[in-house]
Amino acid sequence: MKNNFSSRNSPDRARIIVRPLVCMLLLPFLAGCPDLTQVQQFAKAADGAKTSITAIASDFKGSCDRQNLYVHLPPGPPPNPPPPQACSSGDDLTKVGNNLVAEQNVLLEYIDTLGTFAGSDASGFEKEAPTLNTSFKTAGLDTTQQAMASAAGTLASDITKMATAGYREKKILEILKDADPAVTQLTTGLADQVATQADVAALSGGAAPPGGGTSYLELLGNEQVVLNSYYQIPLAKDPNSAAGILLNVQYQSLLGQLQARENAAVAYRQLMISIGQAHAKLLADAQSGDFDKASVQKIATDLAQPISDMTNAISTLVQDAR
Amino acid sequence: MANPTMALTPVQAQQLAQEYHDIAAAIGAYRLAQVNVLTDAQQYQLQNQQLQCIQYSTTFITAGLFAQQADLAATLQTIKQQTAVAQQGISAINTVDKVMQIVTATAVLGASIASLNPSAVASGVQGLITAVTGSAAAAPAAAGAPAAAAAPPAGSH
Repeated sequence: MKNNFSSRNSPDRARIIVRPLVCMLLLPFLAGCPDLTQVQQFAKAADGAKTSITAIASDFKGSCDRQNLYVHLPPGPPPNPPPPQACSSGDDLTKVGNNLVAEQNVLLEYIDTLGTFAGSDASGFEKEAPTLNTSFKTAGLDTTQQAMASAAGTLASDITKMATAGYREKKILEILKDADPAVTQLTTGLADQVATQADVAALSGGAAPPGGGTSYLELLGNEQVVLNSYYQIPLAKDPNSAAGILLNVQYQSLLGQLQARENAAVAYRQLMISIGQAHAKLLADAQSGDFDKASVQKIATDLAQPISDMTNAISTLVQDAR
Repeated sequence: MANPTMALTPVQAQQLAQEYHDIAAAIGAYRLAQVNVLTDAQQYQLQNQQLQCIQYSTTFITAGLFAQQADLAATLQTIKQQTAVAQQGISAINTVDKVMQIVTATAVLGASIASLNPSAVASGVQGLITAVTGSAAAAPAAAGAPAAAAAPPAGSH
């Protein structure tokens, strides 16, 4: 008499033997590993900011050029020597901007590659499997043999997926771990070059913590000093004439543009800090094995707001530039 | 003996930039407050001093930014290395996929040999050749004899 096991057909038997084996083999890979969907989501969200963040870098030199426009000349022939330039660092600021773009690109390429790695799939076999099944059918295999071939194909597909997923999860965890201190340092460094924490605090009227280095926002601060003097002094002399009113309109418009640039700088800082935090969260979740749908959504939500702020701030700048 | 020139730290550069910024702002405030007192020549002279202070401030901001970027050099190197690791991982995934295809085709060939059905064996051989070469073009010629030739590497898996 046949027992239950031997009465099953061959494909089922193969599944019963191989599946637990596969699960046992891959179990060590699956504990304490990152959710690949979450990594992909992180990369996708960061990718949305790519075009916006490049605009800031080109305005390092832009601010310098604008500062040099705000110079009054005395009546009469051109003075000799000419007045000093408010900004003589244009070439250096171009280099600073280019360096910032290069640094940003290192970060974005890392995130992009991480996302590609998390999303890379062993799809080759899935395309091959049906072909093999068909070729066995046409080769005259009986139904049981065809079913065996089909089961072998399905199992091979599952094994391939699980093996590569396990490999990716293990490797991505290693990468997240090794890169996290550098990502935090780079995102903070990029944020500080555009707006330090002290700059942002000063801008909002709060107490400014010391240190942090110099930034794009400080260039804008210098721009504001020369802009104010350039307009306020003639306006104070002659506020109510038609020329004065026109001058005031122009002054307010330029102040608005400057404000938009400051907003963009603050948004840039927030975005970079958020990217660093999202990376750290990915690592923490991966190490704790604490993944669920809500966790994936949170990564997207955490990054969506700073990306949206950054995109809006930059679009205001582009409109002003027109 | 001359003192060697020392590069500014980002914090030192920031402090100097802030000092010159504040002086320039103070000059601007004075020019505005004394707008009805100062002559055009005096305004012009003060403007030039104000611009000079802003220029110094911007020079220190630029120096500070260069210093910050230099400090990030090692960090950038680390992230580039990890990006390379991820890129190698992507290549490895493709290799794993290929190996799995060959192993599977080999297993199916084994099943077809066990079936003792000549046409099934031919088909199994074709599957293996396809997996190894990525093309089914050579399959008809390989249908007979190469079955044995194809088997040894299969056994090695």
